[in-house]
Amino acid sequence: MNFGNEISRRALLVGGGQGLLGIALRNLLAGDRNEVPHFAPRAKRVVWMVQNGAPSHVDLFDDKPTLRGRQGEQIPDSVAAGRRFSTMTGGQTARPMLGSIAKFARHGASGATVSDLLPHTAAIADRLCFVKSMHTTQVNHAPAITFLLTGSERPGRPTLGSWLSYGLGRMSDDLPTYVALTSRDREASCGQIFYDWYWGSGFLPSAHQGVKFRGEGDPVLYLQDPSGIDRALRGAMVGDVGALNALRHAVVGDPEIVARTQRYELAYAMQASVPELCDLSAEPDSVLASYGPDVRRKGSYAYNCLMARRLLERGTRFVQIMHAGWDQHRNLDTQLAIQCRDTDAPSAALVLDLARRGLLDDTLVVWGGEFGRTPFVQGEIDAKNRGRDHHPYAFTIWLAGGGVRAGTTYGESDEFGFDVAKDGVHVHDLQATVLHLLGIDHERFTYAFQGRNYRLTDVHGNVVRGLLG
Amino acid sequence: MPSLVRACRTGAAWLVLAGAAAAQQASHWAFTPPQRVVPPAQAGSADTIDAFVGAALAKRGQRLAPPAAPGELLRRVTLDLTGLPPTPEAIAAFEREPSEAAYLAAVDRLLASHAYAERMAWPWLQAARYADTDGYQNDPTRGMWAWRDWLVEALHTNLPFDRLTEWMLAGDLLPEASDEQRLASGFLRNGAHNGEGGRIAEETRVESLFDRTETVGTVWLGLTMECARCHDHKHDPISQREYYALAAYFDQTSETGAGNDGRARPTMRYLPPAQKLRAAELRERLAATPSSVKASAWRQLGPQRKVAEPLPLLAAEGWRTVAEYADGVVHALPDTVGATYLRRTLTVERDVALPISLGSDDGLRVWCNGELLLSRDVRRGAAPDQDAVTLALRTGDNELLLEIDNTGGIGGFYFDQRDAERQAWRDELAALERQAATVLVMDSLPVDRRRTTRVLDRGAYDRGGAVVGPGVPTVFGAGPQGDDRLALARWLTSPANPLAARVAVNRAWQTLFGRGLVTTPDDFGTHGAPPSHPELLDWLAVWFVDSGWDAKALHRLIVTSATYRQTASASAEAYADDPDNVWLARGARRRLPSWLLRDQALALGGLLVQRVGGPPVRPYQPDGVWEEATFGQIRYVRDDGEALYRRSLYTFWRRIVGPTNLFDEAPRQACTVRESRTNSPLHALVTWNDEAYVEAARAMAGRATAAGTTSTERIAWLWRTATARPPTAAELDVLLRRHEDALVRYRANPERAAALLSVGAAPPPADSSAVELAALAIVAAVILNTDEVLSRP
Repeated sequence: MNFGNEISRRALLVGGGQGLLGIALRNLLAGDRNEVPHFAPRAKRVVWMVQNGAPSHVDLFDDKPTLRGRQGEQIPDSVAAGRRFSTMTGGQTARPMLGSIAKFARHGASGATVSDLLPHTAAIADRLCFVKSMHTTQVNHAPAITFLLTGSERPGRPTLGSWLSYGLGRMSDDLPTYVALTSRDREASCGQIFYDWYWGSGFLPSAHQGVKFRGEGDPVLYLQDPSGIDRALRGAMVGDVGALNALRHAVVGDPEIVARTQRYELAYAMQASVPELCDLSAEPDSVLASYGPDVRRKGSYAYNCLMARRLLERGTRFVQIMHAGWDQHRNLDTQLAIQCRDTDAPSAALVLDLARRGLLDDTLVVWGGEFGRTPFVQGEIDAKNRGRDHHPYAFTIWLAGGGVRAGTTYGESDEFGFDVAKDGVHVHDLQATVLHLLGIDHERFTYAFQGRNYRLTDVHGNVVRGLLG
Repeated sequence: MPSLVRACRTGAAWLVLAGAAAAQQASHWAFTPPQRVVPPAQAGSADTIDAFVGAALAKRGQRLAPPAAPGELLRRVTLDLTGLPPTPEAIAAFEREPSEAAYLAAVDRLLASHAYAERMAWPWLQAARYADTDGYQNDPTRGMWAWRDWLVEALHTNLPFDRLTEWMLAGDLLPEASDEQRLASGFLRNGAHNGEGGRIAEETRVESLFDRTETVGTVWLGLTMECARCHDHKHDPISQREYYALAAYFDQTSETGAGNDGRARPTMRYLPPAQKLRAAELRERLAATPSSVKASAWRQLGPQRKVAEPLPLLAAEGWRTVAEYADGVVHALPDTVGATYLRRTLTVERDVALPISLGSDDGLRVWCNGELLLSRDVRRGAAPDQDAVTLALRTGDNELLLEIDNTGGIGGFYFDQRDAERQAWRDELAALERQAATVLVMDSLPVDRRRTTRVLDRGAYDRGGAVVGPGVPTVFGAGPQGDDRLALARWLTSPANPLAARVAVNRAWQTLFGRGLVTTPDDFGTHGAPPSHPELLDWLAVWFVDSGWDAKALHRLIVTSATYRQTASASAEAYADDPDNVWLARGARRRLPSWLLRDQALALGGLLVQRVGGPPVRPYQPDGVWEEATFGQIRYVRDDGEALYRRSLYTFWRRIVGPTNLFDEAPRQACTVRESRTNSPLHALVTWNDEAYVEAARAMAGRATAAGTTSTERIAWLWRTATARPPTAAELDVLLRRHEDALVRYRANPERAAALLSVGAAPPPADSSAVELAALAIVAAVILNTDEVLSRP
């Protein structure tokens, strides 16, 4: 039998660990959680507004006169031939260009280009950093969103929020560290589903998985005591559990028994802190109004944006807002405007609200979808129900807040808005940059699982210095 | 930073280390066959475990702890082997006579129960990534519960692990495969299936292929194959080419990746044996029983070109008699496109109206005595009772003519006379057939349609490169004798594979101790954890093979060891000294898995319904969870009655949003063999507030009321039933004081007592005072939430 190999490895890890190789190997195997943050962070918290379904970059941010001027002409084969699209247009041989359905103007001192569908976003343009050269590898929603959130297109890896919970720990005793909030467009125009792995912890301990707040009823399941048990009685019962656990701990010295009692006390505290979180009575009318008319409707995007601010100011580290409804394969002309109307004011209000409360300086804000939409039409170019298909090769997102270079536009797509022309930012680059802003070197932040050291960015990703303020 | 360190951290280290690693890989312990180790002290088989563990402890100057108290031990072994707590009667009996013989008898009784099979099925469901839906958009329901029932039965009858392996990986390929063997191959089809709109079918098929390959890698080789999908494995001896060679075994099914209805082919309709027998009996009876009308045998013309006006055909040449077309059974017709004409003479002694029932392929016309009675043009497959028509029969002979259209595929027709008795048989048969599950299974492409398996560049489905044939990684030497899944299955449990037995016994150890001898049950490779007790692992592996891969014998061997039976009572210093209990100087106490907590609560409340098998059930779940996850597309309609009280094994598992009252559960997206145990306040909210737990607490109170006359007796009964030991005076004092306090509160507000007792569907006992019962329910809820009851002792 040969265990020598193991013994030598164990010696390396446990005992010896001498020499460069030993140290390097130990780091590789153990991960560097204890060293996180690796350097001074620019942001302590994150709110990521995931626009599921993929907003159309060429209608909202990336103004392409060529598409307007040559509307109806085939997009050149030199650009589009042989490229992969979803099966919605994969079989479509005609790919006529479709100009923006909205008007563009330049906004703010920075002169950022934003279409008139997003007036509130345009109004805060000087606080934002637009990235017009995003690109990804996936052409279908679930894999692309999974890729954006976990660095891998297949379900099962930890999400960014879980990585941060694991690495940076909690800032609140009675609210979750990582919260996911979901909403969808009112017309239910598309069937984008929120899979629970979108806030999953993958192979990280499940304590780091995002807590999905529900859009109706209590935000956390099982929060309410059953009928017939009031707060005082529940408090007494928690005390009993603690007393009985202490008695048992005297016989069985398992520290888990003590930890259990602490968790029960925390649960009791949460039962009070979560309702307080959801009580909007102290919010000034002007603040409520800034989030738009939907703000009081539970489960709406506007409500979730306000909830995000309340969570962040109470110590939640990572809020993941997800809004479905951007998948305009059809009815682009009508649906896109509705989408924008429902999301534009709340997104901008969240940025301003954070700024007003002094939280924006150390809160990173990210807004964007999993890919963009095709510069060519899906369906007939003159049809009322025309749309655009999925487009992974170039799209736009924006960032704001902690450590971000405000009032800038980074990167360019080509004249069709089809491919990246300058300063491409891959999804892994974005992830590396986000970690960097939180004081984390994405290459050193690893977790050993199944014999491999996993990172959010796999073996890729570069920090994009041009996005940093 | 030194460049080497930097290189290591970026992953480029593997290039630096690759040379050394390659040399080490071949001699890595797990890739050499398990050795027949001589135990440190010669003894009976169960004692051998203790000899190995004791020898390791001796090196640390420690020894095994004394045995657990009888109640603690009985609760432990009952929870471990069946996932349920011991009954009050079993606790009392074992405390009266805590002998070795009584313990062995209890173990045998537990192993023989169906509850054992249900409990041991759970880790298999996690490994099999079992769910009741496909996953992804629409998340359609599938009928894999029949596979789950097969698994439970196989564990109950103790199908040896090597046979189990054959059945699950290649049951469909066994000679004259039975329905159950084909069903078992559904193991490979339990993965998620992405039928999202716009999805490329081949991409989904390739994902399933990866999923299958990696699942088999994890379960039978203890190796993580995933890396090798895109490139040669960096530290285990699996090249990318070898990954695709292993995948090639699973590539030869007719699966296309298409389908978004939970029935992606290949599938089978499965009925359990008893129902299947009954269905056959009914079909036979329908076929054999003559009806009141005398009917000639059918005569058939065609299939041939369909004609607009077929009556003249009655005079045509070419009609042939087909005696075997019995009534009440669907008969297949050739897959020729066109029409088949069928005729028969019906003779009656007086004028009579005869209702008949028909089924047909894509179209049907019916004439009686030259009169057109029915004309249907419909795309369908033939089935019973698709159309009904009444024939006005005249005294003497009557001529019935059918025209069956076929626009493609296999044709068919069905005919029966409708009388009351036959209708009853038909109804029963239809009811039976509705119970049949559509199960995703494996099949094998015919030789002329075999796929060519290629290495896929970076795992991309559309970037096929070099052609590979089936094979296992060369580190294992001689591979399977044959190139199909059956050959692979047989090889996996052959002496040529050094890993299957080790990996299997390690999982069994993990189930019983909460921690494997190798703590990375999914990774026995060079970067997995080394075994804490390498000789014991090998000894167990060899023993398991020698036993004929007998899982029950293995479980019996472990739970009868002194190592297993140690007390968990130890000082805080002892816990601090070995927090993970690597060296086993005490009992392996730990929090119970969440599914088991619910089962335990149901059992303690006397609510548990121990019915084995069947379609999944929908017990209590907060409103709106499925609706929110599916944008209102799918509603959660709670079941009533006994479905509320079935074991968690039978709770409907929607892949995109699993049961909400479970935690630390594998999300059923991919094969999982690791156990996760965390400690979150959200868990406390479940066991305090989930309707199932509140209802269990009040049901416990009802049982306690019947079991004692004083508060002290009742509370002591509750404690003893839940912990399998009597309360100490201090414990009893805490609970009595809470009981007094709750009585005061509920007397002041009796409507609150009534409110508490209204939680859950079970009616409160009629003969008890609501205030008394509610106060006792508070005590029961406290007991259910103590760390001791939440833990396996």
